[in-house]
Amino acid sequence: MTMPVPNTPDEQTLVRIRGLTTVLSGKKVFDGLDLDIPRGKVTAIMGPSGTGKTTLLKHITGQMRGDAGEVRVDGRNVPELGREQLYALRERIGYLFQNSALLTDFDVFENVAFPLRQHTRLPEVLIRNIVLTKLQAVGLRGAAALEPSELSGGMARRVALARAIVFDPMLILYDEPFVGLDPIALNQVLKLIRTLNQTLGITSVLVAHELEAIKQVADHVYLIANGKVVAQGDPKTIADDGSPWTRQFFGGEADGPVPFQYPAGDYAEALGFSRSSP
Amino acid sequence: MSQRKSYAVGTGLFIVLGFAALAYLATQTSSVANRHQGDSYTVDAQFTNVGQLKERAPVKVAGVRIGQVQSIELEPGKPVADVKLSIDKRYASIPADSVASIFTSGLLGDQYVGIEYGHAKTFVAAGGKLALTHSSQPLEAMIGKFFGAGGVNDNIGGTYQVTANFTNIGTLSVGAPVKMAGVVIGQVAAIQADPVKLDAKVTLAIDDTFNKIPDDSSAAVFTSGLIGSQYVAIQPGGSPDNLKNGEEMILTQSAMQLEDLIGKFLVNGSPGDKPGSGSSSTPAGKH
Amino acid sequence: MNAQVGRDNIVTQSLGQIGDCGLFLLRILAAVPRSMRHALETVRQLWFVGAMSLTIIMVCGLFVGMVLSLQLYHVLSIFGGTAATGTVVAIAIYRELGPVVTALLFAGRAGTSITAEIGLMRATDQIAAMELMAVDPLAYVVAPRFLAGLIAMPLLCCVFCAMGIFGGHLVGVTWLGIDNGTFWSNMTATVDVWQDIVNGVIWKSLAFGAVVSLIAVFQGFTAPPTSEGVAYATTRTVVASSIAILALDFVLTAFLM
Repeated sequence: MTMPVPNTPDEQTLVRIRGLTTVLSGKKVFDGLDLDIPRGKVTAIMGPSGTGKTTLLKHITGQMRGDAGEVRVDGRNVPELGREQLYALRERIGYLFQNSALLTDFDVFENVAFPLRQHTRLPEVLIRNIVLTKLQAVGLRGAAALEPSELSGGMARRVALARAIVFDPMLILYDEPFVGLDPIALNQVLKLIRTLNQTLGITSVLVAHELEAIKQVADHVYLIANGKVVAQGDPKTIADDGSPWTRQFFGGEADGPVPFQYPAGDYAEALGFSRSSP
Repeated sequence: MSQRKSYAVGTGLFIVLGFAALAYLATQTSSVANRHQGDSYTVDAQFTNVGQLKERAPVKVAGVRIGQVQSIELEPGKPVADVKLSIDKRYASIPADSVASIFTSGLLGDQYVGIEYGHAKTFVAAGGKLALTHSSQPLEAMIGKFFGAGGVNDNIGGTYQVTANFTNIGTLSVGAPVKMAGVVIGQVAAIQADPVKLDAKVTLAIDDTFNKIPDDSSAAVFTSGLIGSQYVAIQPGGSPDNLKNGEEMILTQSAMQLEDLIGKFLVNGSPGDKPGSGSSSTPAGKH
Repeated sequence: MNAQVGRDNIVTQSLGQIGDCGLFLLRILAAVPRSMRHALETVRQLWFVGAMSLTIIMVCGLFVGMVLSLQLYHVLSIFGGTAATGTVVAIAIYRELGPVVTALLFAGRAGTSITAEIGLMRATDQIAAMELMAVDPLAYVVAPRFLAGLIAMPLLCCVFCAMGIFGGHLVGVTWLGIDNGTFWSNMTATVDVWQDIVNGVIWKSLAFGAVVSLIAVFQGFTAPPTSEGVAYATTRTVVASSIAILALDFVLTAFLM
């Protein structure tokens, strides 16, 4: 299953996952997962809830380690990296949390400035310029002095995005960026993802459920289920590829390869009716 | 960044306050406050008994602290304790005939040196000596004197171990100190019941440096304060011969039972004298 | 973090917690050199856990000194020993009440807020966000709070003791009429700098500061990322700190005195 992979950075592929297997509290989350994320493109990862899409992102950032397999980011195998190398890698990855995860200690400006202050010794004027540029890019330069608690969900997500791009990363991971947004905010975030990808050439990975939104930005879609990639392709055509997975997922059917019933013991027995009784 | 600066200032103030509190505790409320004083000069005073007086105990005039006890020493061969008093330079005019006494603050309090001014026109110089002193009064001596029951005896002894027989040793135990003029010079080495004389035979181990104790000295069992532990006090005599190893101090004064004394006091009624004010200077070997 | 603890009995569970806590201490100590880059953060935490606790510490210290003086005066007057009030107030505060009460108050005031803050930072993914911004949360969040607690406790304890002496003086001298000179001179004659202030105040409060801060950051860092988990962790900080303070107090007294 694992194919030989060059140790040097690949021109085409930024993230290359081969044979990833992860067992979490007895459940196989990934079962020999293979997945490539091309450079400079927007890749979407979809799948039913609980299939480990967020877990997959955590493997890419090295927050979690699989039990087997490789996760290569820019040529380096993440599970083998030491702490210093891992942190050096993370400085080049932006991550957008589902709940934004702004630091409540600081106002918007300091939140965006936080990575700069932690990793550089830039003069205050330069930090200010960089932060204001990024805030302008997400349209929130005027909100620089607000506290995170004063922001709406959509604004907080845009601030978090400004923070994620403050170092001009090579890769941004979006964890459910569209959840809980009204149509206006959703379109603003969509526009930002597209702009960032097109103008800065940042490779983007989206974890999301919203097919309509994904059709507008993503170049490639992976559908994950049962710990494997069950379908992939162009977002506009993937729904029509005919596999039972895509039919259920994009058709929104209640029962299918993903069962309606959570795995359970015998129903009659659970209710106290013995099967052998007459 | 400015908001961080204000934290830094506030935190700095907090740290300064904390250290100021520490400095206050250490210098104003502890013994350092006593050690720390202005220029001082030293005056000697000799006591036949320093009792529980300790180094750094206060020296007071009219109840006001003017200095502290610098050292307490017992010169080998001498029957009196040499006490050096360190006195504040501001109180340099102490009349030469002033009296230094060892008093106790309250019934259970610590002891201190009180100086009562005399009327002499000359003052005690630095390094000079206060000739007139009143020693600390062991409770037994005061109560004993009060009842006229203070048995005083003369005796013989040796250089390393001497024995003494007591009819009653009270709660004296092995290891208890042996004191002369209130200063420890040895300890109780053994206590045995004497099968013939039917009393207690106490073996005293005395430091070799104190080998010039007159052989007519007496041994007495005293109590440190009202509720303190008991010890053996040696009252030097005037004999030209000294105690030698293995000798026996024949004349001794046994421990007094507080109950007996108080009982006697209640039965006999109160003499006119007040026991607490016992300020008579006790020459060695009083009768 | 503690997924496998399960429903063991209370002994093995407590032992497991103590063991985890000890390992966590090692991780914090390893992160301390790295946290020197975030020295400003330590200063900021010192403000929150130290300076912000001053009010409660000062008020409580004042009242402890006052009530101690009042009680002792009435007991000692039975023996005619009211002159010793200052001495006993000072000794009692320096050796026991100062460090212990300060530590208990510190656990309630600063320990809980540390636990709740770190617990909520984890629950709202702020800790994870830091890790992903290549900022080590042990060095940036945990170690500064631990160090701040360690530094703040002895300082707070000194302030507490000073206020206690002041309160004792207020009641004893100003109100009950003990002689001012007697109050101070008896105190200064008995209190020893090494025995009472260094051993009693400084070492004890340093040890208590380390224990309370460690428990607070440990409970916060390992709290389940739910509102119930954070609430429960906060409670455990107070309970565990109180037990640890009083048990450690006995051990330290036995060794230091």
